Amino acid sequence: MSRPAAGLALALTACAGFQPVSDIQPCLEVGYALAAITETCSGDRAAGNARYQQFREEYRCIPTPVEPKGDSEDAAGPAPEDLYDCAFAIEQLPCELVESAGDDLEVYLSVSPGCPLVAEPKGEGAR
Amino acid sequence: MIAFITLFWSVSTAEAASDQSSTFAPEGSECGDPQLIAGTAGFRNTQEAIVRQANTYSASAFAARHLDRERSGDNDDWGGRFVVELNTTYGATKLPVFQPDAVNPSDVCSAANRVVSRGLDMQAGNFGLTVGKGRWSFLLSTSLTSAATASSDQFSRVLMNTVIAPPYVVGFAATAPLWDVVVPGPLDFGGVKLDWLAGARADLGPAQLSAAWLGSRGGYAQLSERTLGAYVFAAKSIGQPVIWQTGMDRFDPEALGLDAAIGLTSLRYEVIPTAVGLPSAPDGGGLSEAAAKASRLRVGGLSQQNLARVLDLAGRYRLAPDPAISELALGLHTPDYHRGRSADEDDEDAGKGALVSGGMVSTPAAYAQGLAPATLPSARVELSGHNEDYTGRLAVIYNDPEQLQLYPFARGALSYQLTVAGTF
Repeated sequence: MSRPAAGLALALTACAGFQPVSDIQPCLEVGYALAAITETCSGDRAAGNARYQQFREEYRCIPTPVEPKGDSEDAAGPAPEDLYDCAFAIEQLPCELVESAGDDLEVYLSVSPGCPLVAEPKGEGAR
Repeated sequence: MIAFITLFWSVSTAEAASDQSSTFAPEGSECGDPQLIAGTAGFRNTQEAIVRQANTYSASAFAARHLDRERSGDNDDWGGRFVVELNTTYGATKLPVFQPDAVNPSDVCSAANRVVSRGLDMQAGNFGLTVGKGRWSFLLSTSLTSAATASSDQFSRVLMNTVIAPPYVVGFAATAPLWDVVVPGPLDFGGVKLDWLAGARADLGPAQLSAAWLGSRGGYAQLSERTLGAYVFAAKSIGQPVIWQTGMDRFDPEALGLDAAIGLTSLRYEVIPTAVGLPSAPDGGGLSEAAAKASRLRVGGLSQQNLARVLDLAGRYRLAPDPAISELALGLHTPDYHRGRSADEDDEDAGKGALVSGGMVSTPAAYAQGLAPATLPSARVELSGHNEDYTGRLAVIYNDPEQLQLYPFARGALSYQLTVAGTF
């Protein structure tokens, strides 16, 4: 193999197929969903970014390990893929509700039982 | 028919990759087909990447870029030109996915690998053909774009993107008029998009005018002028926003008796529809009016190629949304690497050699896409050559502005672009 071809092959194989997700990824996705629904309804990217920043300032992310620690289903807690339900539910909110909720994040985070599992108000302290 | 193509594509490529996956996948990562997790930024980015790719590598954009601005002959004999291009991007975005158990019971998918972040790999193939005599030419341009989550191990991923998928991409693209056209809708998640255009080009002396019918039920037109290389093109399909560009393509100073050391000057202004809507938007599946307006990317660019024969300078300014310099790059190459639109075909040295360029790209905060603001290094390496009848070019790009304009959510994405053209 020529030197340029070997370099190209090395560069291509450097791109891994998949990586583990962060243990606060479901929480970060809640912030991203808040930005997305705000941007979609207002057409204002800056407003979407501000809503994300507000979420990170007012809420603490609860680490949610991807690998269950317990053997039984109860001990394991919710399946890791179900922790994204909060972000999904926020993304589905109608714009009328987004407009009436404004910057009251409690309204947004009350739409799914999955929300308290991934984020909590900073005032409530650590679990 | 498109269902057949999609099925054929999915089964054939998945089988080939699956065979390799069992051999090379790390222990515990032999999982079933990944399922996208709705509600995540990666899910939204994937939808957007599919729409953006289909617009950027559309049959109309390809015709405007490669078929319509080159010098057309005023020949008495029949003749023509063909161009084939393949674009592949590794990791246009990253998305969380759920991985179920594999079909084969002996494969092990560990709990740690149930939810992982996988890359999205994109493929685009284009084929273009002009055939004409005298002042009239027939014009055909086709496109196929596709997206797939990256294979679970690196070997399969490279094998898929460099060996298995390209023949399908180019083969189906070249025969696109034979199949049903598929255009991505705002919430469409199909993996394969096909389109084509057919029309005519008239040589008006100082200018060329093209008009074509789009297979996706729309129209395409381009007017280009010879001396400055000024052009304007627009394309519109039913149910899709207008895509248009204007600018100046590789103005050659020698055409006005100026010093050739000035190099080739290009200017560009383009409007590209980008975002897709959420189902909750007021129109129930698209974008609000305000969001649709805000989602149109407006970009202005200036590039100076062959400066002192060996230097390239490029700058790009994002006019909307979030005005900012989005590209500054410097490139060095072998003398006269870039060939002008009206380059003398007997000049054997023009258009041959290698190019290396690097620079910086700034990207704004876009938390809806899961992105914090960033300044990224960019790099591009190109090799190009030609003989009397054929030209070939291979470009490998990393965080390149062209790539990030297409996939703004890409971070550390690597692309390669292979172009082969010939005259007859």
